[in-house]
Amino acid sequence: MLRIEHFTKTYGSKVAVSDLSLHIAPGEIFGFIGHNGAGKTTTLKACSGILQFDKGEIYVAGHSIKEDPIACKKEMAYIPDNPDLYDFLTGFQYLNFVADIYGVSKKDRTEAIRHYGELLGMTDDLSLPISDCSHGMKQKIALISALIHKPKLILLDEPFVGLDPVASHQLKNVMRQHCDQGGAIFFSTHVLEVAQKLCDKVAIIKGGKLVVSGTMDEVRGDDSLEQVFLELEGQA
Amino acid sequence: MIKSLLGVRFRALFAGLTAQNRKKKQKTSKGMLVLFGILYIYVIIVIGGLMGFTFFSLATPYHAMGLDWLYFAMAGLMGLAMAVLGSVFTTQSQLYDAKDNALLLSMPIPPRMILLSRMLPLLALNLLFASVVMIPAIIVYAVFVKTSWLMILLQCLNLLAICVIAQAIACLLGWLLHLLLSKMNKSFASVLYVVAFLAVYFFIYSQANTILTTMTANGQAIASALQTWVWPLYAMGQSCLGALVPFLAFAAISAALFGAVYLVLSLTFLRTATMQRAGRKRKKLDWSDAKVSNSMQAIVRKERRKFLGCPVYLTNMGMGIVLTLALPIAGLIFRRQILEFTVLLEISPSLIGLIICACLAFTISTTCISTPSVSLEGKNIWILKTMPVSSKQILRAKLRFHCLATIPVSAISGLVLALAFGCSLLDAALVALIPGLLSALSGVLGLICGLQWARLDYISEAYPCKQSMSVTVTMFSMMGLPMLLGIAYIPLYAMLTPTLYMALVSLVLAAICLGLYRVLNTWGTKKWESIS
Repeated sequence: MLRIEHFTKTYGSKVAVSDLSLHIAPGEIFGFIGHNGAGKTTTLKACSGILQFDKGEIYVAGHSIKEDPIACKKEMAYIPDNPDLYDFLTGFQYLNFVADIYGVSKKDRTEAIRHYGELLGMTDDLSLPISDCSHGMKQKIALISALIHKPKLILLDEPFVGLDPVASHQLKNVMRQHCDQGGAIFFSTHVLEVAQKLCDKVAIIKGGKLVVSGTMDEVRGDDSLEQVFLELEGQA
Repeated sequence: MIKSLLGVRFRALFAGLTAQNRKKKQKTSKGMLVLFGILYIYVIIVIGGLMGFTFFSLATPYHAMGLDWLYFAMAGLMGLAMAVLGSVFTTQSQLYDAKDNALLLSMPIPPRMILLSRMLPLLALNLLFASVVMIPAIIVYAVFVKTSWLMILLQCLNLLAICVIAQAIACLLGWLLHLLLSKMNKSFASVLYVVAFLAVYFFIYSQANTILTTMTANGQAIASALQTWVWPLYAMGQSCLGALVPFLAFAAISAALFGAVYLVLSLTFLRTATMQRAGRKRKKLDWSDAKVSNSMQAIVRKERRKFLGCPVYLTNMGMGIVLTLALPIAGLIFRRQILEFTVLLEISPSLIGLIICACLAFTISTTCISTPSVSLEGKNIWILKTMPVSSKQILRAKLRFHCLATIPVSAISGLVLALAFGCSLLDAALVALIPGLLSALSGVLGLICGLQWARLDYISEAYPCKQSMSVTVTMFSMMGLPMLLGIAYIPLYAMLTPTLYMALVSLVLAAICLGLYRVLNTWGTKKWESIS
């Protein structure tokens, strides 16, 4: 579903990510772990088509993000770490805007908004202007907007930040359900307990370079993911 | 502590002036700074010149009547009004809507210190506004009446005292405005304020001659009224002529007023700055509201909602549309007087069409809706960037909204004016076409400038809408081009009829539009893709 090959991104003389290669297959929840500034957000942004990059290739459902970004974007959804949405729209207007862009029919969008709105306890709040919404509410609107067009691949940057425990639980369910239906999720997180419970595969990045990658069992062995991470960071 | 707080405020101010993009660490080039400097000097000279002309008509008569103090009192009053009106919105947003209010209030800093650190830099803004009025008044008096070093010193000190009073009044009004805005729609309130401001401005401007004549003729009556009812103004006027005691009194009054306002605001600052805006009531969702449209229509609708939902954007870029609409209304109301004026100036009726185009060109130049639209994406830019729409389509949607908002208004205004002033049908068609083309040109040129000088990390939306290089360049280019075309007609007047020249201008404008549209589709799309 997502193939990252020898991806390298530099900002001036600073190498943010160097020669990163990863493969996320359909049905997988793939966790991306690293300390602050390790290159997680840069990688996710490049995968989503926001950032242009120097070397390597990124393929989404077989399409190159460099050669055919539109085809890639049709197959995926992205939620940044800070869900800055259009403050001048209401939640409902924003979701309709996203549905229009992805060409979602009226019936499908109504169903999706109704379903996820109720699941995340947001239906009543969708009539509010986004400027009046809390961080968590914005996060939920961004999540509904990411699911509204039934993407094959979802990219999430720190998705659990700002969510209440119920919404966090629902998000985990939605993520698992999405992958059980053949989709894939590539997400970054600092919450190692969540990653350990939720992810099928995990990759740890340090200073822009991939340190370890594999299934959860391969990466952690008999230790917890936290111990492995701290050892790799030289903190244990 | 106050030094550190002021340091942060000034660093933020200067960062906004010099850096174009903090991520890329690009500094504005020296050439651009020089260009910016020239443009601002030009604006100051124009406004200062107008003020100087006004004071020129007051200086000699008041001196002859022995009312020199009244001359300075009037200048002070006008400077005060200019500073208060010009800074009240900025004051409100700087004091109460600053993004770092919560951060600073969570630190062990007394709220009164935070308030002071926000009020003091605003004095610089007030000084700018008041200087535009006061300095021409000082120069005119010095050149045409008299001056001395003591007078100049006291006049400058009075200017500072006026800034302090203006700051106190602006803070008080900003506080009231903040309380008001917390209870009503901000866009609506802002537009209401700007429309009211413009109405008052145009009323005073249209009555300027009458007011000046009345002020000149009734100097004695005004003077005795001011002496009785507004004694500080009398003291200020006297001190500008070199009297030290009235100056000390006026300075003390300014300081006391500032101190009183500071005391009141510092007592309420914590509560007011942390006050939540009245949240809108949740409405039941109307599912039938989910209108399905294509991606182009969706982006155009989004642009429209942004334009109408952002007070700074709406008031700064939308006022040109109001002026373009007001022009034919004013033309119809004052038709007879304008026609008499053209006869008086011996203007050939065949030139009316060109004059209408020139007037509309000016109002169109102030309507740069597309220019800040790229920067205004700000932190939301990830939304469009991750959507399956091409860069070309996004830019076209932004341009389309600009054109939809401006072309019909300018073309219809041109047509109405042309028909009202007796242009032939062919001329009327051209007078409708040229403003329409100018609006399209403003859209495409503005978008190119917006891309060239895009900045997503602004602190306030006022930056992309008011202070950015992109808006300055677009606006002055759109003012300069019609001027150039007008000047170019002078040597051609004998060879080309105005109708033929307007047709030629239409062709030239259409060619420029097409050329720039091509640039937008090629260079522009690449530029958009590189912005993140």
